[in-house]
Amino acid sequence: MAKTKQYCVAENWGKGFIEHSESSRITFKGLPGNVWQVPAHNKAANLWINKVLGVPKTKDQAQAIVTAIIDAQQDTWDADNVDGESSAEKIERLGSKPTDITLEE
Amino acid sequence: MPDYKVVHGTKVQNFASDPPAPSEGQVWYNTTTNTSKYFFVNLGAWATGNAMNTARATLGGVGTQTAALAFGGRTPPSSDSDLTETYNGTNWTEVNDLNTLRRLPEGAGTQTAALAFGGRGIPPDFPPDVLHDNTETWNGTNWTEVNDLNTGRYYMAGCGASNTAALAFGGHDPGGRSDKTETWNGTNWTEVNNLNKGIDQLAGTGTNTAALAIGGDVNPNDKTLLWNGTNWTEVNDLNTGRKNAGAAGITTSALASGGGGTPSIVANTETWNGTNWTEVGDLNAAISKAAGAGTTAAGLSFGGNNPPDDCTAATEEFTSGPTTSTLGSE
Repeated sequence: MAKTKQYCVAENWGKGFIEHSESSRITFKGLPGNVWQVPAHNKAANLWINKVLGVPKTKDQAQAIVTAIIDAQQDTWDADNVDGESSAEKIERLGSKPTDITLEE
Repeated sequence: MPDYKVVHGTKVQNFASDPPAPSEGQVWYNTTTNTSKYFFVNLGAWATGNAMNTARATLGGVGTQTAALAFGGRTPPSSDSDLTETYNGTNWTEVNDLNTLRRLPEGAGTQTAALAFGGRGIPPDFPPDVLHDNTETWNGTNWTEVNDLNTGRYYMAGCGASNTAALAFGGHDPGGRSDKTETWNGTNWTEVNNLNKGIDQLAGTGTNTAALAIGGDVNPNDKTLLWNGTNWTEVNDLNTGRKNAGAAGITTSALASGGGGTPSIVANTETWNGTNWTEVGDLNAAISKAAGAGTTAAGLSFGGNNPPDDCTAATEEFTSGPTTSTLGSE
């Protein structure tokens, strides 16, 4: 199956990182680890990656970055306990346990 | 493909400056800047803005895209916050803190005249768990404690044009999901007619006489309720039901963005025209429990949780409406 998404790593510097004219043309998906998903085989997406000096990643490489961050967050969440606290109280205090993210091809 | 003249009945025209009132779809050549330009009505798109100084979720927020106020919330991993920041359309600046630490505060007003009310305090900041009824007014420099809500609660919605006219509705009170609505007249909160049922984790926008209650942690979660100053009435549903969305605007022109919860935090954005919700451009990164401010023409989303469930300092700016763009610039 031809890939429909491409990935890069780029740090969001704020204003001008993604402009209205860019998000009007392509769909961005920001992911943990400064990983960004944009359409593959798309001129506007390629130009944006070039603009932000994005480092291209294969889907597997991007998945590894995202998974490593989520694994660390899950470990931190598991280790943060208060004596006598119920599961519901823990979720109220910390938010839900981070869940896995599976990237698309 | 038909050429431009077939479609528009004229060739692309040259102008020394951009035409003052172009028609939708019109293309022209600007001979001063040597650029080809076109005009269209943008349904809505988000751009990144500069980040807040402190990442946080479940914060309160009011104001406009160029003059916003962020206050309170949860900072990682689980601290209640009293931090306040102002946004000038470019940068966030730390200003004086709230008097009471709180996550999940609601707000009303503007960057220079705001109201913060309700919220939650949990251990270790508040042993035991506290449902805040505190209300504070912001005069552009300092927060001052004023009269409390009748019912302390969190996960509610709030809105209002100033720090002298606000509305608080829904949320989670000691009895569970709350249907209570209260109005603020600048001095006191008064109980008025309830929501149709208890709803928490809902979004709200508007004024104390014309407001919208959007979504929530109920089933179904796509409902919209309209407040006319006296009663709540159910109106047309969101396209994507959700809890913890960000909201901005008024009852005839509103914006709902992001929301949801683990594992389904969403980036969906919808605009409300007074009758129906329409899907427009998504946030660039999915966000839940963010604050919203501004209008459908110029909206703002700041802070919140992004997947998997991490507090963010990110800011996004929403713009819709008539737009002149340069061909070949992207």
